[in-house]
Amino acid sequence: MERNPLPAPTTPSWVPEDVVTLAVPLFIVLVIVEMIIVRVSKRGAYEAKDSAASLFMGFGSTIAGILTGGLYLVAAYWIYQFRLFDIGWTWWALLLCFLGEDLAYYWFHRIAHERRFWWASHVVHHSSQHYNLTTALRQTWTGNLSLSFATKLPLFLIGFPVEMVLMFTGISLVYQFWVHTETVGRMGAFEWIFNTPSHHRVHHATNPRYLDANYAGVLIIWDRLFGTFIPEVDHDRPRYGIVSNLGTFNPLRIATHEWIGILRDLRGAKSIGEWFGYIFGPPGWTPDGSRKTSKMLKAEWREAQQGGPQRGAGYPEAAISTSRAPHAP
Amino acid sequence: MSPEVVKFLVVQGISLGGVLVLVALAWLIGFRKKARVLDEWHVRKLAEQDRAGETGAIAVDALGRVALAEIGADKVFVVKALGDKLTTRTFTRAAVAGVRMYRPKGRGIGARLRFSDAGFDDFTIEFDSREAPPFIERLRRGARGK
Repeated sequence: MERNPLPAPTTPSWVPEDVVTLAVPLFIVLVIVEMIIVRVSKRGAYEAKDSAASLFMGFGSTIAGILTGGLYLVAAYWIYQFRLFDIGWTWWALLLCFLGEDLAYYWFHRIAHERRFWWASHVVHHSSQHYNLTTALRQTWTGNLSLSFATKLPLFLIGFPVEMVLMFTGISLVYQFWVHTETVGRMGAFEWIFNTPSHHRVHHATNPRYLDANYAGVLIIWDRLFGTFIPEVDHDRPRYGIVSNLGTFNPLRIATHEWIGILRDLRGAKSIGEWFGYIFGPPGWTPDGSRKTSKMLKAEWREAQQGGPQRGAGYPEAAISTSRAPHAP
Repeated sequence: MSPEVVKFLVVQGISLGGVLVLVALAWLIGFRKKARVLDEWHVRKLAEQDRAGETGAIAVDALGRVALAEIGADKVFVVKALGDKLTTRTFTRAAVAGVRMYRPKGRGIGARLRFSDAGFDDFTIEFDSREAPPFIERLRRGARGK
């Protein structure tokens, strides 16, 4: 590979330095609005400790991002010097970059669910049993360390300016904030193309029907294209969280529990194959099948649908559901 | 201090302030319900829902904060109140890293349990009786020496 001798195009003055930081006041206002809607309409749910954990994870992720974001920038600028094309800040480049960044996000997100090494970071975002705007801010502290930006790197090799890709990454993150809500129902034709609260509720659900679906950032078309789209259905309300839910609100435990789980498993691994499986296999993989992957859970559910007893069948769901647990006075 | 550092500190200060305001607001407008485990029937149904396996002996905390159920000879089903939700997990007995008995004030006996799972806090289970259920004692013996 040869270095591109031309200088990088000048970044226009209208490009914001950091889209996400600019959006923080909007995040705060929207969370307050959602809290009030939930309180008044009883649609959706909040819990103060859960929100505190989510918000603190979000705050910590901004600090972690500053400490570790250099890794991403170094990789991005290093690859950019070998760019194949010199792409300027034109309207068609912006459009292509938006599509490319969103596609790269789809694949990052899919890999983050399907391979444990990346899941160990991403699980943080799914670890709340609530689904509201504070859940959107429950973010990992270890994303850059696990090279979760890797799927974006081809964009720099093609020749999209680093600042352009970072701008669309920021826009995508801000877009994804509002889809974390139960207060917005279905959205008609908008749902054909865009990721919406309904699509993303499915993504956060642990119901077997919904596992490993709807990885979209902004455009849901990638899920439709690659066969991972599942619509929300009224008779199977999403239950949020992870298959093995956490028993803690402690941010440090939330941030590190899966990494510690990997290390513990590696200690008991008996071969290179087992090492590899524990690190890069799907979450839940074990050599003896004693834990379950999403695929196994989904297969069991399908089997039950075709004749066996359904999970939870035979007694009133409302009486036993963990999401509608009886409350102390 | 350089302007970049000052800007960074201001932004982080505002963010942290926002976090505190939102948490205080959530607490003030009443999002602080606590879930509780009702009884053994409740635990059995949750285990059934989780397909945890056939439940044996069950121990429910006197205040409904937590419950444990034996699943066969080598597993334990745990129900733990976490805010307004109940978290359910099935652990192998090997994951029970420690059980320490104690005498709580105003109750019969209590046990503090520790699991070798970083995503699960230690917790206490208390009973009105003077003796802990035999099942807890078996867990304690199994965890001894870890």
